[in-house]
Amino acid sequence: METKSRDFWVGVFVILAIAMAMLFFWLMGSFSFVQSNPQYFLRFSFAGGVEVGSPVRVSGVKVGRVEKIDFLSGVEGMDRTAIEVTISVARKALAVIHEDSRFFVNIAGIIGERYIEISPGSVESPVLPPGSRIRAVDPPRIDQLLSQGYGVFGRVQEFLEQNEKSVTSFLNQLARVMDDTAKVLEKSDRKKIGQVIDNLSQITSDLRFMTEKIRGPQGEEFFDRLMVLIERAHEIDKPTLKKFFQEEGIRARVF
Amino acid sequence: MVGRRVNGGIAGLGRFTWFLGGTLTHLVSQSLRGRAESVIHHIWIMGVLGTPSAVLSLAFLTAVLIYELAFHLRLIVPQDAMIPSFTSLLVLRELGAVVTAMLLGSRVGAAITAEIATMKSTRQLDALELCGVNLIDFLVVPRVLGCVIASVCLTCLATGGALLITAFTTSQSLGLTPRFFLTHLFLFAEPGDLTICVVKGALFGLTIPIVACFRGLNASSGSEGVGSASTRTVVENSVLVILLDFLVSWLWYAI
Amino acid sequence: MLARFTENLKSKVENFGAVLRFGFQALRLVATEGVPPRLLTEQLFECGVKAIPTTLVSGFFVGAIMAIQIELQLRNFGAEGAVGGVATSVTIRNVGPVLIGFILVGKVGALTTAVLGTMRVTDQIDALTCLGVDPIRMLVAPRLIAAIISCFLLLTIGLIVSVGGGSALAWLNFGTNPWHYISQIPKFVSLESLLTGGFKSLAFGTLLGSVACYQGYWATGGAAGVGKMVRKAAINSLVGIIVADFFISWIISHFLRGIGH
Repeated sequence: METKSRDFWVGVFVILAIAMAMLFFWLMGSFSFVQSNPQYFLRFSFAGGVEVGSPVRVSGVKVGRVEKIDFLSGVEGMDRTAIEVTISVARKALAVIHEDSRFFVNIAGIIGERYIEISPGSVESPVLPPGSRIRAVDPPRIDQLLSQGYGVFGRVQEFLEQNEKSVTSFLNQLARVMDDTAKVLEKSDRKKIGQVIDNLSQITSDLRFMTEKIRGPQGEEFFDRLMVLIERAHEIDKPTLKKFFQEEGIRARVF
Repeated sequence: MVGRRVNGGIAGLGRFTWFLGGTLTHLVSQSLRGRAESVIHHIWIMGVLGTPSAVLSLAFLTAVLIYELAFHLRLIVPQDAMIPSFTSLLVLRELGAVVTAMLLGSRVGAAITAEIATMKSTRQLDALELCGVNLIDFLVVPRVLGCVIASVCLTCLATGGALLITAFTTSQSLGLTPRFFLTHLFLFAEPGDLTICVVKGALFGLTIPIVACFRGLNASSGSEGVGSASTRTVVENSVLVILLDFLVSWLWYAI
Repeated sequence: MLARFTENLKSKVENFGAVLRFGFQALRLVATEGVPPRLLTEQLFECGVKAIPTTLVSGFFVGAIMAIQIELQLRNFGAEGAVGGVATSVTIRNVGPVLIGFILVGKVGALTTAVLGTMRVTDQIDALTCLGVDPIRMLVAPRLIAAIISCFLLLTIGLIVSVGGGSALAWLNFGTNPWHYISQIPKFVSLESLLTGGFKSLAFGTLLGSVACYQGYWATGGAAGVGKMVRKAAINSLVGIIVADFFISWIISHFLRGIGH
């Protein structure tokens, strides 16, 4: 084969191979040939399995990816080492992200790929400028929830174990009381109980009548007089008191 | 008998290490200026001429892989949408590099060994040495350089070509469109996987010519010697490819 | 250039046809006249037994490689417990026969080509013909049969060892209990898979044996020619294995679906 032609094909070969590799790198999102996308910096204390390259979605639509994940310590507003997740968001999605948008870690579908979900936020709130640092919502730690659940169960179990005797006796007594009450109710004459209840209602209605009276104008007047009596009685000694009571009693027609 | 074989083996290893050291030193230290011609010649033979068979072979293999993965994935998740992604993972990480290397090892390795062994047999090597030519410089280095470049390029082209071809040929039977196939190809792949593919290509491209040249230079004379040396090259290369592939995969993915 | 490519393709297919014809010729001889047992045992030892260490090593590592990859992929589903079954199934059906077949192309195929090629180039074959002995019966047939049987047995051994390799790796790296690994196998490896693996072993053996014998027998050009023939045999065997793998998988999956599941 002619040297020139051969050299040409070798060149083509190498160039094609490099182009193929570049194409694949690009398809995997290593580079962007457009102007680099705006970024946000999210702070988590627990990242929940999000990785570099995980997608970023707004209202379920993919708009970017996670570019970097770093550890930061000594950040205001966070009591422990924070995870800073740098995400890139396509320009077209910038307008929907507001200052009251919330940033979550969500799980996609059956396989459980983690991604960052951004809720769009309200229209009144101003648009969140790129480059902002945002405190994102930590995903729940299932293992913590489980261990707390276990803790609670454990304690309840402990309590029950330690106080087993008293708990059992309490339960027994309760059962007995209910039993007895049931027996009593069974044994005693239904009619008698009905009578007792009727009498009770009679007494209460009488009492009501009395209290009505007391509240009325007559009752008030009686109380006023009583008060006057007591005041007068205040200044008198014993024999005079006796005489007084007698005299006043006759006058009031009490005796 | 075992003792003698072990002795022979260790002696052989020693010779090989010496050879390896010499080659690497020469690779690094000697200037590349006059060599372009012969390196290009080797890239031509090793790379360009082998492209159709490499691409087609890998395409067949990838097609089989797709059917196999479809069969297995359906046992776990009845979703054909994942198949392109998992196939590309396996091809990129393992098969692309290994199969290309096997093909290269046989075609190129045996050719180099036969060539050099024949030269030794016909006393050409002695003649060259008498003229003061350093054999490693003259014979080994251009082949090594050519093969490394050819191997990397060939691996890229074969892997990419195979994936592209199978995208179009197998999508129908999977119930997907080629477009879907291609866009979902690298869903789970990371740039690291592609890098590993290229690294393996380079590694194999390095070891194949070195082993081949070594066998050729140490061949016994006559046609029997040539034949046996070529055979040993093919065998050793194929086993070496598997061992190295395991080593790289293990170090990268499992540690 | 396209014309040259198609011509190339045509000649390759013709070549393949010639190989098959040659192979069947040898096999027909075996069927009708049989093979001298001593020669057969000799060849079996040369090709088969000598290749055992290499097969063990390769099989082990092929299994290990697949175990790593399958484990990583299963992690996406949280299904790592199934790694034993899935990795073995994939390896036995497809990757194992192909990769181990590649190794055997070298160990068995290239060896046969070299031996036969040297004999041809040093005119030993012509000498035999002069003596009235059929070289195909004496030289080719035993080697071909030996190659087929050896490849079949070696591939089977290799596949079994690959299970060991996979479980060893799963145990060392992922902490999977080897018994658990192996217990997954009956769940995922169907009879169809085993048959596929076995059939491929047989087919690959026949293929590489035929190619090796053909190339060796018809070698030309002296010492350099032998080397060239080894190369051609190797590369043709490799490509042949890949293509055969495709067609066998395709045929089995289309026509034998349902067996074993």
